Amino acid sequence: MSEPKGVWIFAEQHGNKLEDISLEMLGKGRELADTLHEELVAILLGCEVEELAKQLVAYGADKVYVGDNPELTNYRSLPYTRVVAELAQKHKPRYMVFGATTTSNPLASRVSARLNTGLASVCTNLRVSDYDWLGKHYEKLLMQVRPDFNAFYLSTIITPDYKPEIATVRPGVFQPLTPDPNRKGEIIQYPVQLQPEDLVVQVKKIVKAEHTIDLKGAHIIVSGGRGVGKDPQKGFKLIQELAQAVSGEVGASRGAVMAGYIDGSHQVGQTGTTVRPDLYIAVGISGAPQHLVGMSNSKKIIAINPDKNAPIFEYADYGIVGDLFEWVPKLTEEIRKRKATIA
Amino acid sequence: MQSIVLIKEVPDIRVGKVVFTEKGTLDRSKMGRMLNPDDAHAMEAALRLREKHGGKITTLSMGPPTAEDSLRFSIEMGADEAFLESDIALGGSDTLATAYALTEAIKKLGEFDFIFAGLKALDGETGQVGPQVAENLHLPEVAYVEEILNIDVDNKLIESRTIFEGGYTILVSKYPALLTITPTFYEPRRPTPMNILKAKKAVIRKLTAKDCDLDLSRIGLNGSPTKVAKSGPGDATGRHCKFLGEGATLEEIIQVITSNSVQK
Repeated sequence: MSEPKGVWIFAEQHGNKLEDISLEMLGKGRELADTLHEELVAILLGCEVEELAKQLVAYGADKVYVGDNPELTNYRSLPYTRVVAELAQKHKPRYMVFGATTTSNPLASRVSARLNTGLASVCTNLRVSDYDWLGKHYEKLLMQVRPDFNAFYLSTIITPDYKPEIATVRPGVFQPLTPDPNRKGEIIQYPVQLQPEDLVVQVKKIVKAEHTIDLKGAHIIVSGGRGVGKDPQKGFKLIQELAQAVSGEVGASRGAVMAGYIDGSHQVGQTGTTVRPDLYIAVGISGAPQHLVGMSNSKKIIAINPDKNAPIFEYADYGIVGDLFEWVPKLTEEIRKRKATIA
Repeated sequence: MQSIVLIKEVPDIRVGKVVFTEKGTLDRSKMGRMLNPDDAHAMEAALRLREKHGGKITTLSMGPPTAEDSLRFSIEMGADEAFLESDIALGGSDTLATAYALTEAIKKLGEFDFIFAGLKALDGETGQVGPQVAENLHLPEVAYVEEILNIDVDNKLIESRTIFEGGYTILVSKYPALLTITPTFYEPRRPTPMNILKAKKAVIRKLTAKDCDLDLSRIGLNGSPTKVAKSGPGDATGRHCKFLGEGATLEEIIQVITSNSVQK
């Protein structure tokens, strides 16, 4: 039997558009595959997705397995699990990488159970290394680095005795390569055969949230949390003004969204958007774990909070301990003043 | 409607409750324990289902003997009975091993219509166990359920609204099924005095590895495919906060903001 080989990524697409995470995984995957001198393979499932397969090659894939079938138009875990697991059983990849998204997390979980192997989830770094574990030498293990307890711990997970080694990775962490339309890659159609038991879940409707704000692309995000509770309307008005003054977007914690202070499209964090702007200003956000995971990769972080012991300050470069209703307008005013001077 | 709710006890890492050792790692011995917050939302979803369709709610946890407290809390919330799968052989199980152990325990609990799980555990797991249990039991899973919209008892179909990064999806699934519940809709209720009393008297039923006929090579540290090679204090982001008035001036902070506000 041949040794497991190659780095595989699951290319996520919705509405026949590749998700950013797919390209990010190809960026990291290329690095891993080059280290191993092995292939970088993408799995692409959907309906009439040939065009996307070419994009995957341009972004670094050596080979793309395409499962093209009307039943695969929208993600559903059972048919997707069948195809992904079959391909893995047949071709025996060394590593498999999925996005830590609402689509790929359940998929990776099911695939790992079906293949009876380990899964390290929401990794923020991956690298190849030889490693000694319990007196045994292992070659080319995938070192899967992930924050536990929301970065109170940083753990490195290995899957020494099982193949494939499977990881999910956090969106927004890895960089895609610059696409090269002349790159050569092999596109292979996989004959999809589904069973009736794969089709017991039906997608009735998909509704995209009205997304007029662009948190992912913003250079600066000013986010409000439960701290505005004293006067939420005024609080978010002040935050909006500061965001405008710095040409930024308005974000929010889940706490603020759940309390009804602002609509969910602004939400940053685990169940919202993961962001990494140049500057993140956290206003009245204490720093609940699910918020921290969504913004802690921002280049610079400034936090304003009345409680000096709030966890958000452990993630911040600058802290203002005080009342946001006093400090936010003060910052806005100072910035406007300076802008006026420059103009 | 027979429901099983999977719950987990986690260290209490809420604000102000986190204790560090001198090395800067979490000091679990000095920290409290609590029901995993997401699981309380799963519990609430099961309770609402029971209110509408009747039936019974069984809670199941795999964990150390102390997890009994979280199971007791599930009875305070309204569960009918609770099982604790606990065995020294289970210590150190990763998600695959945990999912296997839970699967075998569920098989001992008898017929069910739904298994509910929280979205994820606070202490490191990330929502794998639910879908893995579903896979082991050959059930469909409906992940990221925000709200159960409708149940068609005659055709055994459940319609739910599930969320994804950019919106929501309405899914119709056959059941029995496993649902993972987001913490965004079902706000957990407070225990009633009557249920608190009931929980005090309740017998938490124990299941050992032997009771569940577990294959010992598939559980515990040795039976887990993933290993923690290294664990240390996270550098989180490697940041050290400079506070205004203690190292940072307002001028400096304004500078940071304005230097970034230039459109690139």
